[in-house]
Amino acid sequence: MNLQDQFLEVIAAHQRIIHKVCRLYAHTADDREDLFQEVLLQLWRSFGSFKGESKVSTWMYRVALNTAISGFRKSSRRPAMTDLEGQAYQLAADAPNTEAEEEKQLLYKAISLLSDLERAIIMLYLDEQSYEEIGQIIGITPNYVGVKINRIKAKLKDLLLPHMREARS
Amino acid sequence: MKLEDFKELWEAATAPDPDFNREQLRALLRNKGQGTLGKIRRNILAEIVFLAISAVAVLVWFAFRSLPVHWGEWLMFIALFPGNALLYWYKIRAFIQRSDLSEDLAHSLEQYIQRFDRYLTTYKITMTYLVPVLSLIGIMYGFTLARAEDGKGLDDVPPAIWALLGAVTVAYTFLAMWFARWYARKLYGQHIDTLRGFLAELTESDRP
Repeated sequence: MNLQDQFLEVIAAHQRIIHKVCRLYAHTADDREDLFQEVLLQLWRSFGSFKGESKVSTWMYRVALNTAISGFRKSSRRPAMTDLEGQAYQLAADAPNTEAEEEKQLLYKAISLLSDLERAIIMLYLDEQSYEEIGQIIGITPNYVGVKINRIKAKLKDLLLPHMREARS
Repeated sequence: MKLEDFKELWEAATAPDPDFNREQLRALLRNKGQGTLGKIRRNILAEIVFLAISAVAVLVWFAFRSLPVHWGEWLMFIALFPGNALLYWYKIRAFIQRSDLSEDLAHSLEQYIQRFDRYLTTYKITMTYLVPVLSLIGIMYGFTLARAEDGKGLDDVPPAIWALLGAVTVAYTFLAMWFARWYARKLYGQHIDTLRGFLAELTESDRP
């Protein structure tokens, strides 16, 4: 099996990671496709130097997030939001009907309103990565990961709580 | 509902677009440069090819024409091509030779911002100094030729003419400086400011 076949085997098995990052950082089908391809190319470029010192998922998250966050794109990938009140208003306007769907949509929308960096951290957290692994991917200490997650939780709570109450009443 | 309760929802909400099989992935790897970054890279490479062809064309013109090459022409050639080559070197480093993306995010951001800063500095220097220098050389060259046709040198040029040439050069330098800053800011300013913000956020605490 040559190097490219090995690479494709790894990617085929773990491509969900790339899809998640693309869905979080690109908002149209075309942008997602662009970003998927860009991440794939960057992974292929660094595959030769990947020595297995970290987990495959850690390596893939690093490359995918680095590509999504630092990659220069001419157009903005999401609408600019200025304050939580404005963001909460937009959540309410787009909410669907069934409760489960609504919760899912609200969560997704609330996360998409966070900054690129906050989205990366919360995505890793929700993907069951340990603080240690999140720290390795982002480049901060596990303690600081905890601090950041608490801040993001508070922010998400501000965004979601009014709508969760509304859904239950 | 606690955020932990969302983990299951998250898994469902992030169900991937249809998975690609190996052949589809292989095809994506083959079609390099379809995305926005690919287009930027292709444009940079096209500009480099254009610059190289222009340099060769000018050298061929110098070699085959009957008139000897004037010092002003050599200066313009040297100012134009090496200056731009330097600019492209940093542009390539910023856009093509991306930093090692398998490093952690904070480290990659640091490297990326550093490279981008270097590119922008070179861009501003090139636009601010190279363009006025080239213009001055061009004006001087034309002026020297015009006087040579009348059988005169530069020794008896009135001070007012020198003052006018100086004023034009200074005005042009300021204009080029303003334009370079405005254009660089328009193209990349927001992107770099955002990345700087992320890096500052990450480095609030000690790195591991």
